[in-house]
Formats: sequence, structure tokens, C-alpha cells
Amino acid sequence: MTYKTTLQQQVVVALFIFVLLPFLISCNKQDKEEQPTEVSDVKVYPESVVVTQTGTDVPLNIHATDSNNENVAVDPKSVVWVSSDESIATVDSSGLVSILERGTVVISAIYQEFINTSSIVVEEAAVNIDGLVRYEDSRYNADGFYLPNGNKFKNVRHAIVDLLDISGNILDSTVTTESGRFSFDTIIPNQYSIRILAQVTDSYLSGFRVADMSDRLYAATFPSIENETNYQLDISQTNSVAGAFNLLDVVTASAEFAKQKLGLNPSNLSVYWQRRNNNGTYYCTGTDGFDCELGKGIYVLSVRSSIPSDDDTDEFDDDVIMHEFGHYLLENYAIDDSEGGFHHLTQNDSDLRLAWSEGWGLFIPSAIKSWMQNSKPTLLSADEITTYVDTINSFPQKGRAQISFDIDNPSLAIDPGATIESFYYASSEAAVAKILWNMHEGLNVGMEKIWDVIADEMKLLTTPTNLASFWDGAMSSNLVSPTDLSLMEAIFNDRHVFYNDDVYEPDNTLATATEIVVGEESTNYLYLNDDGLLDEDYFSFVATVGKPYTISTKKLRNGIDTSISIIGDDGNVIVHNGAMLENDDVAGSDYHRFDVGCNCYRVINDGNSLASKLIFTPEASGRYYVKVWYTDKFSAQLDSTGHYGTYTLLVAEL
Amino acid sequence: MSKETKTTEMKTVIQLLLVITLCFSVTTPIFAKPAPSIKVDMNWVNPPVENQQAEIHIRLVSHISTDQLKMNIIVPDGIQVISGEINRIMQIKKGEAKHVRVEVFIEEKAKGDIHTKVTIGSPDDSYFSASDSLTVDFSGETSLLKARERSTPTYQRTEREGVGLREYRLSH
Repeated sequence: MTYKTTLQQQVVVALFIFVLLPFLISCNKQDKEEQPTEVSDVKVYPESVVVTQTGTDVPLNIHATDSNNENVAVDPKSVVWVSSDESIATVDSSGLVSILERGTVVISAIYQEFINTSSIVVEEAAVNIDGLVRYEDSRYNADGFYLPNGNKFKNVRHAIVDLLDISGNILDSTVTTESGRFSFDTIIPNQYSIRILAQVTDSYLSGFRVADMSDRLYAATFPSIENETNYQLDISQTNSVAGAFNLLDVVTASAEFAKQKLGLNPSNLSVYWQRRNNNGTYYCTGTDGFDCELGKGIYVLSVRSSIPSDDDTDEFDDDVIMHEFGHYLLENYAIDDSEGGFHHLTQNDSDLRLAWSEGWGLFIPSAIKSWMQNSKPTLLSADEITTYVDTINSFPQKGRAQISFDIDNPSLAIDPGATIESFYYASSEAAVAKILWNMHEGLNVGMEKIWDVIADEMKLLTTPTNLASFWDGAMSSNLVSPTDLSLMEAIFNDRHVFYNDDVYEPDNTLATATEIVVGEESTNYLYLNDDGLLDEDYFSFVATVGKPYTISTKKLRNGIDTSISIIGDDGNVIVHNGAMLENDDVAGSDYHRFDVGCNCYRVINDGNSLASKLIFTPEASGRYYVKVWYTDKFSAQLDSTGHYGTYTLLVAEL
Repeated sequence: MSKETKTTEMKTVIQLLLVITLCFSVTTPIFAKPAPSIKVDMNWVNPPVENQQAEIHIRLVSHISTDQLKMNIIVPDGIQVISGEINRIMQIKKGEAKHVRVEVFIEEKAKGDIHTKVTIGSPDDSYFSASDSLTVDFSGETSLLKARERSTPTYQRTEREGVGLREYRLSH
């Protein structure tokens, strides 16, 4: 056999041969004189050994033969065993070798004047390090987080894992599987650390990561990993880094939904979170000022206060994170004209662009959770699919819901009666969410086709993105079959959104004007004409000379902004005191307000602010006409309004 | 330097300041999470004093009309409510601000938080809640609390291939 020895080992063997051996031989010679022997050769067996584990023992034997190659009995007490390197292996007087360390050692057996050796190689053992990484999640229902033992551990999926030496150098990297497992092959047993990064591998989702407010990536490191396999590495909530891994898992699951249900390939999403970040939870579309200083991404609130009721941490509020993921989808893969800002679920007078954007954001958690329930149920932390839950560390128990809102059934329990309108109209994000959810559940078109309308058709339209432009996109793409159109209309009508002709149509000319009774309100819709142009409604009434009348639009809904004109028999607008009898907003400049949330002016879609009103005293008795149409003035503010809507018209004696 | 030159320079500086101000005032849209539809704020009418009465002003604002606004006040040991209801159900209109005043007596060395919690709806269905609190601490332990708050971070700053890490060292 051949083997390699180190210089040190060779020196030790040489010492034995040239210093000890003559002495030992001389001693044996004395014995020989007393006990003559026929031994002519000795061999050590086995001649060579390969060992892959320290701490084990290897027995060696010596065989002596005479000149006829016959076995000769050996007196074990007369054999001297010597190790060339006792740091690698020691040998006792019976030839039992104890393996201590990796390396190569020569064991010599000396018997009478004969010497023979056995080579022992302690190899670098090739083992696999494998394990499971999990983090502690918080389960929740409509009332908040389960307490106190409702938590469960979830797998850290598709995350980057480093194998580190004791100095912190990266020896190897791998990724966790869907089931949270990782493995490093052919590893030398030693002391190592395993480091899990809050970043998804680029091959699965490019650029998905969770960092702190200084853009430092979160990582959890488990030190003192020794020669073991099948680790279970649990990141518990007693350590705050667990929150980073929940954030990573929620956006990962949301992206998986987007891949499977929307046909997208999401990439480049950073989540910024850090305890004591009190700026709020929001999605930033770019780098700007104090709130978005790290650029695009989801920023997550995590207020830790000495006053428990002031705490609001969102790192385990999955619905809140999915809501912001919805904004990420709109901004990166579709179109979103909303200027953002503060908003409330019960607000029904919103900027239509805001209501659409936030309604989509309110709908998307339910869509994602519904997909999870069917495709990846172990990822689901919520009990109720359609309930949006935002918790606060409110007394007396931690993690109670501060918002618990069922988008599928929004009107109950809040206040039967008076507030039911809070969840109606295109200016209500709750209504938009409810419409999208009912289309998701009730129309046989599939989520991908609904998304195609949002991502493709709405981009082609010149109107601002809102519920009306979604409707237009659905119509132009033939999202639903003609037979299902009435079903879609019913879904919209359920939220008091009427994108269809009213009972007075056609009434777009003097000849087809609807006769109204003075003193009685009529409800009308402004919607597209058959020729695809925006609707105009004509009404006629009989007036008496010298008697003043008020002509007004009221109860404007779904974002419509009316204008009215008084028209004579000749089809011209009546001129009184040199001014045409026309009015846009009776409220004057009070039709809008400054919104600090978006740092912009916004129209108030509350039914009154954009209403029109005229006082008309006819100079002759007879039939007069009122034209109502959608205002096309002040376009900057009108981006907040819609081109379709509902109003009532009242002509009354003053 | 002539007066005209000075004026020109001042104009340039003002223009520069205006540009800088505009740069910082132009905002990209921020898409925030839904805010709770009810808000509560608590404030002391006068600074609280040991062994004396103190008055608390509670302001409630709702974004929804309801006749089922529930308000609940909880006080810690050492503080007694001497006037005002601690559990109330009231009406509130959308956009309306309700004001509630509560008188408490603060005993010697009192310590704890006075909480107000308001809820619209019921836990069986959709609901909104909000809370606020005021802290009373005449125990003299404040310095200890502050010292505890300044504990050593549980993470270390490291780097991986040029990327900054916030690395937590855990055990298993």
C-alpha cells in the first residue's frame, strides 16, 4: 500500500528506528538468549486502515512466521506498539488504536528484532448538514390575534441560507425549499453557523427582501452548529427578527398568487420595517422626502410605546401587508392615478381615484387568502377570508383588532340604517372592494381576466382610473358575455352604482325631453349615449311669468359633477341680465378641500358639493327646458370625479 | 458692491430657496393603510398633581354615524374616578366631534395608565376601535425605567458581499 506521511511523522518514525530500536533490540537479544525463537518475519494486520470518524477504536494484530512461512505464536506482552503521532491516534499495549483527530498516522509493532507497520488514515468525513427553518407566526381571526397559544411556526420558504465558519466567512450558500428545508452537501465536521437572510432567492422571486430603516437586510444566525444533521431552527417571536420573516412570507405568498392567478412575474419589492418606526404603513412609489427616503417599497409601522394602547405594530397584520402589496401591483403592473393619502373604510365621499385604488387594496387580501385556502392552506394565518383585520396592541389584551371589516357583508353591526350609505357608491372603497369580490366570486370569468381589464384595458383609456373606467374597460374587452352582463350590472347596482341607462332615456334632445312636475324630484343617471358620447339629459316644465323657480340637482352620487342650463324653445340658453343661465357648482369654491394626506386639493363627492342650482324668473309663461350634463370644466379637480353618476333634479317654486 | 448687485444676489438666493422648498414639497403618492374610522384623544385639562383632583378631556371623532359608540375608561390602582361615566354608549354623527370630561383623584405615589377605549360595532361582526391613554407616575421610578429602555441592541451590524445586514444571533 502507499500512503503519505507528514515530515513530522517521518521524523518520529526515524527517531524510533535509529534511537529506540537499537536499545529495544538489545533488550530482545537478551531475551532471545534465554528463549530461542524461530521467528523470521512479522506482519501487522490490517496493513492499512481508512477511518472516517474520530472517537473510534481500531484493533491491530501482529502475526509472526518462521523461515518456512509457518505461523509462530507471539507473546503479546513482548510486542511494543508505537504511534507516529499521538495527536492523531494512540495505541495501547494490546494494539488497540484510538482515533483522535483527522490525519495520517503510522502504527509500528516491534517484536524481537522485527518491526512492521500499519498505516491509518483518518479522512475528512463528508457529511450533509440539513435542517428546517421556521418562524413563529400569529394566527388571527376577526377579533385579533389568538391568545395566548394560538401562534404556530411556519416554514421560512425560498430564503437564502449561508453556512459560515467560526470567523463568519461564508463557506457555502443555499436556499430553503417550500417546506423550509435546507441542505449543505459534503461538509467537513466542525463548528459552523447557519445564517438565514430575509431575502428570497432571485431564482424564485427576484429582489424580494425585508430590510430595516437603514436598508440593512434582516438575518437570523444560529451559532455553534457542530457535527450534527437535521437541525430545527426556530425563530420565535421573543426575538423581533421573526417579524421580518413574516413580512417576507406574506409578500412571497402574495407574489405567488400574482404569478398563478394574474399571470405576472413580480420582482423588486423591498419591505422596510423596524421597531419604533412610527411613520405608518404605506407603499411608496419612489424616493421622496422623509416618508419614502429608501425609495420604492412597502414601509411598515411598528410603534412600540411605553403606553401599551399606543402600540401599533403591523409586521404580523397580514391583511395590512397584502393591502400594500395590492398598491405595489397596481403601480408596477397596471395603472394607478390615485394621489394616495389618508382614507377610511367608511368614507363614501372620496376622490374616485382614491376609492378605486384603496378598494382594490381592500379587495386583494381576500383574493389572496381565498387562493391560499385552495392552493396553499398552510400559509393561511386568518380564519375569515373576507374580513380585513388590522390589530393594535390595545388593552386589556395584546393584538386586538382595531379594524375588523368584512368586505362581503359590510353594512351589519356598524349601524343599521343611518350608515348604510357608507358602503355605497364608486366614491366608497368598501363598495369598490365589495364589487370586485362579488365579480371574483360570482362571475365565471376568472381572476386573470379581471386583472387583464385593470392592467391592459384601463391603460388605454384617457379617463382617470376609477370604478367607472374599470367598467369601461370591462365593456371594451367583453369581459362578460351578453348573458352575464345583467349579472355584472346587478353586482354594481347592489352598491348603488348605476352604469346603465335610466328609465327616462332617450332624453338627449329637446324633442325627447322628459316632462317633470314642478315640486317633484326625479332620479336620473348620466351614462353613455348609444353613440358612445357622454350623456345629456333634457327635461321640460311649464313656468308662469314673473314667478321665481329654483332648478337644482341634488344627491349627486358615484362622483358625478353636474352642470345645468335653462333653455328656451329655440334651443338656446336663456340670457338674463347679460349672463347665460348656467351653473356648475352651487357651492362655489367649496366643492373641494385641501387634503394633507396627499398634499393636494380634492373634490368632495358627498352629494352636495358638486351640485348645481339656478334661480329662474321667466319673462313669459310657457315651456322651458333644463339640460343636465357632466361638467368638463376645472379638469384638474375633476380627475377626482367620474363621468357617470346619479342625481336628482328638482324644479320648485321659490 | 452696489445696491443693485445686492438685490440681484438676494433674488438669486430667494429663487434658490424656492426651488429647494419646491423640491422637498413635491411628493410622490403614498398609499397608506386604512385608518380606523374612529379616533380618540385624551388630554389633561391641567397638569396632574399628587393628592389632588385632575380633569381629563376626551375627544372622539367618527367617520361614521352611529348610535352605538361604546366608550370605556379604565383607571389603575391609586386613581379614582370621582365624576363622569366610565362606561357609556352614545350617538355620534359622521364628522362630529364629541367631548367628554372626567374628573379623577390621584392618590400619593400613584402610577399607571388611564385608558379610554372606544368601539363601533361588535366583535361578532365588522367593527372599529381606537384607544388612547394618559400615564401617571408619581412613584419616582422613572429613572429606572429609562435605564432599562437603553438596553443593548440584540443584533449586530454586519455585511455580506457589500450588503449591510441587521443580524440577530439566536440559539437553537
